[in-house]
Amino acid sequence: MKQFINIFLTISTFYLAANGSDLNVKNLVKSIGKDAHEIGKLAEQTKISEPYQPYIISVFSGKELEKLGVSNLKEALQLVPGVDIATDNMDNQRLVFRGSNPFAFGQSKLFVDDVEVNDLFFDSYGAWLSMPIEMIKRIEVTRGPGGISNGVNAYAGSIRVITYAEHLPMEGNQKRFVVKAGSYDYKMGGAVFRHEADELSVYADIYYQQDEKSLPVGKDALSTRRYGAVNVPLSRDGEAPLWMRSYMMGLRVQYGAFRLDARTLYYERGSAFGINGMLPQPSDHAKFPFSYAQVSYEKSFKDWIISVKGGVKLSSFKSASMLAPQGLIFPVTLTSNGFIEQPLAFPDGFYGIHEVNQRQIYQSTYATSDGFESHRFDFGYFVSKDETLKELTITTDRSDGIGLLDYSEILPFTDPDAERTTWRVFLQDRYRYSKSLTFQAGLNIEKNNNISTQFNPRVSAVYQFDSSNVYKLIYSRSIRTPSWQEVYTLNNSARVGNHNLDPEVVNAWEGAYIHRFGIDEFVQLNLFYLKNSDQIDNLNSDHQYRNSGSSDIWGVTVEYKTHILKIGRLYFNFTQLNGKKSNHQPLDNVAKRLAKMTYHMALSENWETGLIARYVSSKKRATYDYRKDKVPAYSALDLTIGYEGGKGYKIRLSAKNIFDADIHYPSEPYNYDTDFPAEGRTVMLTVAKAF
Amino acid sequence: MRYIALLLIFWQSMWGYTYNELLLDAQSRIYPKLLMLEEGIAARHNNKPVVFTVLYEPEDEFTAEKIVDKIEAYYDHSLGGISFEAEMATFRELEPPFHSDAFYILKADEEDMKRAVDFALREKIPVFVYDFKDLKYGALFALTIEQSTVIYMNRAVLQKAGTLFAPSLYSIVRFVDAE
Repeated sequence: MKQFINIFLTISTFYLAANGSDLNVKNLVKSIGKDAHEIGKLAEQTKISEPYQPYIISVFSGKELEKLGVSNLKEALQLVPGVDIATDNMDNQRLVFRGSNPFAFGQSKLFVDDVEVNDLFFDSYGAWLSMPIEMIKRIEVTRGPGGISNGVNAYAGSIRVITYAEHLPMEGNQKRFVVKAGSYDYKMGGAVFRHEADELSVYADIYYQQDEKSLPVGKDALSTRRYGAVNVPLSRDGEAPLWMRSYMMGLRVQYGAFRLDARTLYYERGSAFGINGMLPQPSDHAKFPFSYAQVSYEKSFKDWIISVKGGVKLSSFKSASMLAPQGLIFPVTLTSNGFIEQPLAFPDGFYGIHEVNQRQIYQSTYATSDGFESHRFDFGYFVSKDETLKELTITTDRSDGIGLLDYSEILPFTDPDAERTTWRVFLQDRYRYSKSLTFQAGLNIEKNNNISTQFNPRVSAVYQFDSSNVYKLIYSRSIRTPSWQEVYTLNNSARVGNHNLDPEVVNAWEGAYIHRFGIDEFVQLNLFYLKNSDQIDNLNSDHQYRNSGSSDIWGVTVEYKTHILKIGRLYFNFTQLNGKKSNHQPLDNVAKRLAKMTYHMALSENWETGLIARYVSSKKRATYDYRKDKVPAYSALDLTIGYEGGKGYKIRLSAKNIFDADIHYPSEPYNYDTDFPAEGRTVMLTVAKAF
Repeated sequence: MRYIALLLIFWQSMWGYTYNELLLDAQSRIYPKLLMLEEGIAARHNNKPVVFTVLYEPEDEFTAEKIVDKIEAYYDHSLGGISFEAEMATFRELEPPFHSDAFYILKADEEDMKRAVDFALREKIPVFVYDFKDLKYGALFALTIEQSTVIYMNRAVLQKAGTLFAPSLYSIVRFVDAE
C-alpha cells in the first residue's frame, strides 16, 4: 500500500506540473494548517481534546445539563465520577473527591472564569453550589491533584466553572432570560447579556433566587451529653432552617488585550443545624458574601503569550443565631479574672453575632511559549496577601447570662490581626516526543507564613496508540494549606485553631486508558492510588484542629459515554474505592461505591426527556463514634421532560428524587444522632427564552 | 412511576442527534479547502460553481442548514477565486441526475451511508464525514480533534475513489485503512 501511495504522489506531482492550477495550492495548505492550529487551541481551551491531555478531566456542557434537568452547580458536580457530597452543622457543603478527607474544606478548589472563589475563612465554596445551571456554559472537573489552572495545584480536585463570559469565534451574541419555580417555594429569575462593538465587548449576567426550605431533623447534639448531662433535657428536634436568599452579578469588559472581570455573590441562608450542633431558630441565619474584581492583560508576541493579572477579593462570613437554647447551663463563667469553673445559666438562651470580613489582594504573571521544537513551556508566579478587615463577636453576656455584649476585643472568635502572605512559582514543560507520545513535567513551589516552602512536582505521559486508544500515566504531589478557620479560630470550644498545623500532603499515582469509538463516545478506565499525610480535623476531645494522621486510598473509575439509536445519549460512571488510615482503621464517612448515570433522549422535534440516576453506597462511621450503624446507602432518580419551541422558548419540568429516597449526609460524632437530611422528592419548573 | 421511567428510556423515536459544535465548525471551515486541493477542480469548473453537498437524515435538517450557513459565512460563495456553493440534500434525493463535487455526510443509518458512498464512488467525488468512525463505510476524509486537529485520509478508499489531490495535501493528513 505504501508503494501505491508513493506512485500516487509521483503521478499527482507530474499531473499538477502538466496541468497547472488556478488555485494557489501552497497558500491553501498553509491556510488549512493555520485553521487546524486555531481549532486545536480552541479544543484545548474547551477541553474537547481532553482524552489526549495529561489530566483526568470530566467536562459537562451547561446546555446539556439543562436538558437533563440539572438545576444548579451542586447537582452538576454530583455527576462527576468518584465525587460525593459532605456537609456540616452550617450546611456548608463541599465535594469529597475519591473519599479524601470528608471533614476538610479546601481539598478542592472552585474557579469561576479562572478566578479562585473558595472563601477566605473556611476555604469553602458551598455558597457557589446553588449557582443556577443557566448561568454556566461549561464545567471542567480535574480529578486528582494538579490543577489545570496555571499555578494552582488543587489537592483532591479542581472545578472550573466557565460562564457565558467566554465567547468563541463561532458563537453569536446571545441574550437569555430564565425564570424558575419549584419545591420549598423556590423562585429564581436571571439573565445573560452580551454586546460586542469592534474591539470592545461587554458581558453581564445576573440572577436572584430564594427558597423557604426547612427539613426535619432528629434530636440535636445536646442529647448526646456533649454539653453535659444537665443540658440533655434541653435537646430539641424539629425543622432545621435551610432557607436561602441569593443573588449574583457578573461582568466582563474586554477591550483589545485588556480585560476586567468582576463578580459579586450574596448568599444568605438559615442557620441549618446550628454552629455548635444545637437546633437554631427559624429566622437565624448566616451570610457568605463574596466579590472579586480582576484586571488582566494578555498579549501574544511571536510564539509567546504573556498574561498579567491583578485583583482583589472580598470575602465575609456573618452569622446571627441562637447558639444555645433557653435555660442552657455552661460549666464556666466569665469574671474579671477570666473564666472560672462555675456553672452559668442562660435563661434567654445564648445568642451570637459573629462577623469576619477579609480581603485578598493578588497579582500573577504567566508566560507560555510553543516556539521551541516539540516543547511548550509555561511558567509564572502568583503572590497574594490575605488580611482581616473587620471582626465582630457579640454574644450573650458570659458573666451573668443576660443581655448582649460586644466581645470583639476581649474574646474575638478569630484573630483580628492575622495576615497571610502566599507566593507560588510555577514552571512546566510539555514535550511532544513523537506524534503518539507526549511527556509533561512541572513543578509548583509554594510558601506562605503558615507553612514551610513546599515543592510539588507533577510528571505525566500520554501515549496515543492509534486514533482510538490512549494511555496516560500521572504522578503528582500536592498540598492543602490549613484554612484560616483551622489556624486562627479563637475562643470557641467547638473549633479550636492551631498555629502549628502542617499542610495536608498527597502523593498521587494515576493511570488511565481511554478507548474512543466515535465523536463524544468513549470508555475510560482510571486507576488511582493516593497517599495522604497530615490530614487535618478537629475530631478530638479538645476539638482542636490537628494533623491527625495519614491515609492510603486506592480505587478504579470506569466511564462510558455513547449515543443510543441516534436519538439518545447515555453517560455512566462507576467508582469503587477502598483505603485505610495509618492506624489500619477504615476510612471515616466514605462511600466506597458511587455510580452515576444520565440519559437524554429526543422524543420528537420539540419534546425531549432527561434522566439522572445516582447511587452512593453506605458509609462506615469513625471508630470512636458511638453509633455503630452505617450511614445508609441511597439511590435517587430524577426525571425531566422539556419542550423547545420556536423563537427560543424552552420549558422544562423536573421531578427530582422521584422515589423520595431517604438521603442523609453523615454528622460528626456527638452531633445530630440522625445525621443531616437532604431533600426528598422535589419538582422544578423552568422557562427560558433566548434572543 | 418506575414503568413510566422505563417506557421513556426505551422510547423509539426519530429526532435529535447531538453534534459537537466546535467540530462542526472546524469541518465547515476545513473541508471546503480540502476539496479545493483536488487536482483540476479549477479547470473543470470554469465559470461553474463547485458544489459541496451536505447529506443529512431528515431529523438533522437544522444541523445541515447550520453547516451551509457556516460555509457561506466563511467563504461567501467563493473559494480561491472559484465560485463555491454549499448545498444540502437528504439521502432520498441521491438519484441521477443529482450533481455534486463532494459529499459531507452527517450521522446516518448504515444503509444511507453506504448508498451515498457508492454514489460518490460512481461519480468519482470525495466523501467527507462528521464522525471518524464512519470512514469504515468508504468515506475518504474525516477531521477529528485529538491532541491537535487531525485530518484522516482513508488509504483504502484512495485507490477506489480515483480522485487526485495536490501532493502537499498528503503531508498534512494522517492515513488510515478503514473499510
